[in-house]
Amino acid sequence: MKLFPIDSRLIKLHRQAGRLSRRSEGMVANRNWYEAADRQPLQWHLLVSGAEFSSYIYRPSMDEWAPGPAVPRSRLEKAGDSAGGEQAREGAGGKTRLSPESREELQKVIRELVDSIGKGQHAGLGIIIHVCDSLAIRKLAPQFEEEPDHDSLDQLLIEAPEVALGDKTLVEEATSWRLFSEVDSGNSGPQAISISSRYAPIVEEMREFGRSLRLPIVVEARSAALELLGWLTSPSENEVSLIASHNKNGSVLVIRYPQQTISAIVNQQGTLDSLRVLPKAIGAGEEAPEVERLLRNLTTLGDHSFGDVIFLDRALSRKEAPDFSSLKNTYPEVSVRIFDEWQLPGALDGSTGALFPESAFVAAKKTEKGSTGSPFEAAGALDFYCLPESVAARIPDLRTLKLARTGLYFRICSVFLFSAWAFMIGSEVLQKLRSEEWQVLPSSVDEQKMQLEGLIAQRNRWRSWDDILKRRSEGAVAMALPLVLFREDDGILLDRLDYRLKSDLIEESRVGFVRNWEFTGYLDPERARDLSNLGSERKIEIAINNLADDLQSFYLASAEQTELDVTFQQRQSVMPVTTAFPVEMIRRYRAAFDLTIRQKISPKSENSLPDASSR
Amino acid sequence: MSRHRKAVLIFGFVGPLVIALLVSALLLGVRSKVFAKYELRSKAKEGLRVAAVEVETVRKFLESDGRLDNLRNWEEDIGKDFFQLFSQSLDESMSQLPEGSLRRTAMGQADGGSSIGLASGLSHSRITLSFEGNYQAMQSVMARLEAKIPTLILEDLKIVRNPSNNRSERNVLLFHVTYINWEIAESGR
Repeated sequence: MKLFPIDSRLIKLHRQAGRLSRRSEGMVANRNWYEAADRQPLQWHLLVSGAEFSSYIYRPSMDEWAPGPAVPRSRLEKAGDSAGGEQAREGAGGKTRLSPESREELQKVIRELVDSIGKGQHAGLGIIIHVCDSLAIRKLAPQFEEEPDHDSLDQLLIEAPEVALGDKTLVEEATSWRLFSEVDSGNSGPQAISISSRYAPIVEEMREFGRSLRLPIVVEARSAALELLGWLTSPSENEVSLIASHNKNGSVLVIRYPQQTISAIVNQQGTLDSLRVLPKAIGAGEEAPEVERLLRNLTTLGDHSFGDVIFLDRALSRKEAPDFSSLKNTYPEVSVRIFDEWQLPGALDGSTGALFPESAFVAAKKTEKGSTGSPFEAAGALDFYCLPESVAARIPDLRTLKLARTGLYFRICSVFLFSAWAFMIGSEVLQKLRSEEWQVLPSSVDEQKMQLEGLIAQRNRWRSWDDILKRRSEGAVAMALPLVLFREDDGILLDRLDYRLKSDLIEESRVGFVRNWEFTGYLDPERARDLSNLGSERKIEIAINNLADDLQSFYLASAEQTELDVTFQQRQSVMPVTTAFPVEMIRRYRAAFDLTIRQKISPKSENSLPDASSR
Repeated sequence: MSRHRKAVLIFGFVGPLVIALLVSALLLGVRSKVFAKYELRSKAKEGLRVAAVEVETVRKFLESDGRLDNLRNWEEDIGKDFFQLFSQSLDESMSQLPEGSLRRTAMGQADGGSSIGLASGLSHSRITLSFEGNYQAMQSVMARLEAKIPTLILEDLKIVRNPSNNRSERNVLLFHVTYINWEIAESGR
């Protein structure tokens, strides 16, 4: 599982957070990813001292210790030993990796442990390496002695100890440094402490294997001596603690490991005045003067006296205890108490099943809800192989992962709701697109309208012209009227016919007109007896109407808006003598007549003529 | 705020929200456009239906009683020389008469204005003719002429006896006819 640097592009970090937050990665579901090694439900404790190591299993839920699985020593040694043959160094003082065989062996052991706890939301394996042999203390570089920001200083020690300590040769050294700020000597600031980093490749291998299993395998490397000091100075009911922290004159704690001896002065307030490391196990015989010198130095360091010297032997009884007789002679008020590891009271008396003294610190932290109350607690729990902040920052915190997961649900819900909404919108749109209405192109309406306009224009033209071209005055009809008014042998000789169409009133764009017939002729008074007919408007009207019917010329007939005016005049007059008519005939026709028929069509009549403005 | 959290907030919440808003705006825009177009087309469809009914009504009106044919016939004469048309129609009508029954003695554009023509303001022309012949022949020619040329309206007709003293010609009448021709070509369109 590769983690991107914190300065990677945001989209990469988001994808990574999403990947980590998914249930398959288990980082959100399983809180143990973010818990310390000593908070895991199953813990594997490796006690390392030189070439020797011990393996223990601890189940906090049952507060039960048991021997751990065997790890082939050679593999571990070769993997962690800078001079080992199986490891491959990567740069001076840099990282080493396990050989494939060692890796397989290690993974096999871890897999067996993991199989025993199963998988799930509460699975987790804490591996703590308790290093007994390589504690070192150094002063910080002068420029950092007064540095108030201890966190930054701690990070500097982790990432660039050669800078923090002002010693470039440290680049070549395989040591892991942390800030030790518990010293309260009054005249010196925090110090740097370290253990060997020769186990770092194993730790990295374990972590990597956990990530590949997607199971929280949290690995820490601690200083066994600091853990022991943390437990011994905790305000618990154990005898050593009482001596160490409550003696009114303060105490000197001396812890002997096979490879080194650690001494600490605890003052009256229970805080640490001084911590020293002697790079060998002090013992009896020829080493006694050196022990005495050490103790003398310890007593003179602080400007006070002390009451107790507690000697804890973690050298696994391979050496005899040093001779404190001369010390007692010099300082008779000092009480010297010597314990071997199995003589320690409390948790180590075998009643709780603890298998090594440092386990008391682990158990105490568990039982006291994560805190022992010891001034050494923080130092005891220091992980010397912790990831540098720049690397640790690559892992998103739990809140961010939960946020990423919430974001995923938010997006899923949003996509679902949005899809439903979009589907609804799409359906509506599709329905519209498939409707009959949608198939109607506006251009087709325009075409239809144009067609309609064309037809209406045609209709208007037709109406206009039909109105103009109505039959109103026709020669054939005008000539037909005398044929119905005058008959042969009726004693009337028609001499002249004058027909005229004249305009009359104009009203509302309609032109009224007059059809005017004027007849002139001669009469034979003896035969022309029905002259009254010619002078009668009624009879003329009947004649005209009959003619209109006969000729299907209905415009001629009398109607509401039609007026008829008939004038008949008779007078004595003689036909002019002409050879065209016989003399007898000329003599018979001795009267003349004028008949005028005036048919007036009102502008209101449907037969009136439209004027130009009505078009 | 850590970059991890910033990334999660931006790409997990803000980004999708912005995208959703943009897509929503786009969808709503498309929906709004489609609906607006649909409304237009819906109205267009109704308009088309109404127009189709109107078209059908007007078409039926024009097609009934040969109105459309009449109009076409009237408008066919557009651009034709009226006097030529009139003369041709007159000749055709007269050719159907018995030999010697009617003789055209004069034809030309009438002088002066027409009373009804001027009163109406309609575009028109006037033609005047003189004939010599019998009554029935003249009536027949006028009937044919008026049927052929519906734009004609009789304005003036004078019929007098031939003043000749010749008895054989006493039934020969002199006709003076003035027609108004409504000019479709000019004013009918």
